[in-house]
Amino acid sequence: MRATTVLAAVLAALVGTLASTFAANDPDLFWHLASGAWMLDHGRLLDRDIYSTTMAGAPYSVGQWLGEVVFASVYRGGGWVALDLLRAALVGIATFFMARVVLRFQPQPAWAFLPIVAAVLISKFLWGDRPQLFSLALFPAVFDVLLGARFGSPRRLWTLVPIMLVWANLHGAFVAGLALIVVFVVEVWIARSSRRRLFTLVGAAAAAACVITPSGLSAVSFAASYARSASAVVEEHPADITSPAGLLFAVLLLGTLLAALVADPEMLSVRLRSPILWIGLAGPFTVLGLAHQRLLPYAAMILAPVVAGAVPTLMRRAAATAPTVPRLAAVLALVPLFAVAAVVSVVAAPRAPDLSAYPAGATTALRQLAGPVLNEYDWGGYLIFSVPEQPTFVDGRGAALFPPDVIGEFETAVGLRVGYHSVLDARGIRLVLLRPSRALAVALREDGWPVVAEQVGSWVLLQRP
Amino acid sequence: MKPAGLLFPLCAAAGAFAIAATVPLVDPDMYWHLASGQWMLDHHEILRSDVFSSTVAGQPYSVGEWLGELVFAVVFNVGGWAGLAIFRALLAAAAAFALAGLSRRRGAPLIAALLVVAWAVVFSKTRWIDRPAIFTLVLFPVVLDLLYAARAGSRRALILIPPLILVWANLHGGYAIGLALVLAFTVEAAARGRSEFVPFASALVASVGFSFIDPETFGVAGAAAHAIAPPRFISEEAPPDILEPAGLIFGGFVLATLGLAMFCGGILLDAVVLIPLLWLALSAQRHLAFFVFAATPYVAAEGSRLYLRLRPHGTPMRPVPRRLSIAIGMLFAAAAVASAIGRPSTPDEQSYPRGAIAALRTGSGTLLNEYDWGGFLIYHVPERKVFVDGRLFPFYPAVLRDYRDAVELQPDWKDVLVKYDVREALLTPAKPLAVALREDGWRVRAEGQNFVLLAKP
Repeated sequence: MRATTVLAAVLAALVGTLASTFAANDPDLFWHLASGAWMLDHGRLLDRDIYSTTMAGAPYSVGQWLGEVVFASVYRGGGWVALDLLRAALVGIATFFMARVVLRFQPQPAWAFLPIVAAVLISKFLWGDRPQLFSLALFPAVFDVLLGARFGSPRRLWTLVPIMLVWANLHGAFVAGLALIVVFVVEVWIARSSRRRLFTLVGAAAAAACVITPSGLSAVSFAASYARSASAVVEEHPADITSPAGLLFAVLLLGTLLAALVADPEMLSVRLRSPILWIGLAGPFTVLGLAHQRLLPYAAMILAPVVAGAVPTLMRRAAATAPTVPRLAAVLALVPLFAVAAVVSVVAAPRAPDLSAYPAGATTALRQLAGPVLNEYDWGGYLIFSVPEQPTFVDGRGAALFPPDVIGEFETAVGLRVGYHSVLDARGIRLVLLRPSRALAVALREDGWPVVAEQVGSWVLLQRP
Repeated sequence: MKPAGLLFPLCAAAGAFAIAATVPLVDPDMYWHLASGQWMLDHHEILRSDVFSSTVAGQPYSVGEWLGELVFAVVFNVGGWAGLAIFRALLAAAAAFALAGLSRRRGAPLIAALLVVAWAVVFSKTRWIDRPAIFTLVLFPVVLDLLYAARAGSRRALILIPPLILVWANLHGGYAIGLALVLAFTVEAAARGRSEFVPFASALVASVGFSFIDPETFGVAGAAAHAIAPPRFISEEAPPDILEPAGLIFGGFVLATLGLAMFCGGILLDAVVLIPLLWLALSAQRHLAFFVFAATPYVAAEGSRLYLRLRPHGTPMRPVPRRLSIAIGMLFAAAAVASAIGRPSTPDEQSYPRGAIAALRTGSGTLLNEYDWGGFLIYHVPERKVFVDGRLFPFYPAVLRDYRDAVELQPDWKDVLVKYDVREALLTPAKPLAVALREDGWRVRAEGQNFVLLAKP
């Protein structure tokens, strides 16, 4: 076994264990759990809205039915701790493949370490407990399989077909995996590789497998339109290099450019093996990362091996080859390590979600009072999970369910724009659950809406007088 | 340069002029720059403290652009709004001229340079603004071109740089980026040897020294702090959005640079120039042009080299026949003349509260106004002091925080109105404060599609 694989496994154990120590707090986790639970209970797909007052009964799909079912099953099986462990496992898998990809091009750990750490830290953007965690794990896995088949043995290439089939049903970012495959297929034809027919066949089969979802072809078009669209959701804003993840990404991007500009092109070509492949990968994924900051982790996974492989060429360091270790020795070292990591994860995993950002104190009152409620966008999922008897106005299902006019009504109301009274009246709003700093919350208090429940500085529940 | 070699830069300049002359005069900061320049002309002294606002009246401040403001005010006094439009077009033409020259510094053939410069000029349209920042847009490619010339052996080009930095430092705060360029070339020269390093280092020392000859400096430290922590609530300070047209062109330049670098490599100079500028560009939209301009010679030269590698037996470009050259030149010149004739003669004030001016003149008390309208009010209604305006720095952070708390109807909004004794509010009707004040019984003194002027009852 290559020592780099062992090292990647060690890093995976460490990072996975670290990931288990975070309490679940993703705002979308709750509605994914509720959706999964509904599908488990009813034995069919949830294809209509049952959670909101504004879109009740409307057909929709978030294209993540299997991911939701897995999350709900894990939660039913082991509660919040099990979800923490699922996150740890998926982050660990992601770290393993991220590290392995980097170490393919830079077997010397000292040079590979910082790019791996940068990619892992940027990937933290996707550590929220929802189906995107599957994409976090599967993207580097697919990348690793493709690189292995392109520059090593092609024997695992066919595994991409079942992987893509499962991924397409787990989470919408499977399109990123398809994009990877397409770039590799194009590159093998340009390079006239002897494996071009194999790559093409596998690529076609993988693409066909992606259509085997309840949404069919529309799943692909939905993901593609998502990549092009602007959004009000913060994680879909352009990358900001004054944020920690943005800064790290900028370092990787600038590091790539530095190495490409200054290094000897021939040496670089030898290190990266196929510059055209990296151009084909770095270009689209850099654009996607810059367009939507939630896609930065995928771009970072592409750039990290380039930086790791290319930067040492600036100092004219000779390429190293990965030493091997006996398989038995590796197993003897890794099994206890993973056992310890598992025990530590189980012990350290929080027993409950972190609800400090949610209006947990308002749930009792919400259960007793008649709605409809106008709620913060970010709290919709939490309400779906905790107070299912009180349907939401909006929630994290976002553009997949709520058309622009409903989002517009929400923004008009909470932003106290002209016509906010009409929104409240037309929707028959009787309760408002918002952050106290929202203009609507301030205005309604002054208008005499009584405060039913409140946590100063965090949330306020107001009732129509 | 031979007359034939001038054709491309002249055509680029004429093309930029033709486009720029027709762009409407719409920049919200144009007004307060004009007013500041006019104040300095009237008082024969530099404006060092606030005379336009009610919130920071009399407090010292600097936007580091006194000479730029004076130039704009003089141009306006001589030629009015049409004069400003023509002046802006001339500056855009100067930038395009310098950019065209710059694009061939790395040996790019005409066709490659033309393709790249065309995109760069189209992109730079977003920065053809009627305020001193446009001087930086012009001086950046000029200084970069001179630095390339100096690197190629022209000592005369190097001598020109410190005086240019002196002028730049007094025209606009963006001179810091000029110093950064000189520093980058000096670092690269150091790597090439002592004989190369000394002239560049001398130019750097002289440039830094000259940049201090500024009675109202904004300072390199101020510029650096601004770049590191851009105020995101100002749209041009937002991160680049590559889904927007300008961002898309910028993204194209980034990808072209990255792709060509991976294919063809580069030299140390490319790295020391392009990498800091890419970081700067990624920090805020207003800085995108510097990377695009600086990448132009690299993309043009390496792009054509890559083309030759991919198509080694392709038909070489023949020189453009002399008569055709003359015809093309005349066509561009005609377009420039036509644009000059069709230039705007008044500013486009559709997005400003023009209909409130009369009511404002007869009103009294502290006025709370939209941030973007502050300059307009300074210029059109000088008798009413503004609450905030585009000068930003005098208001940062306390007054801006209070302003935002009030207009966004934060819990302390009433305290802010009391603190500043606000008697009137001029806002877009959609602002939460405007909606709340109407409901609180504030009287509507004037109203239009995009504004409402409310008075305390």
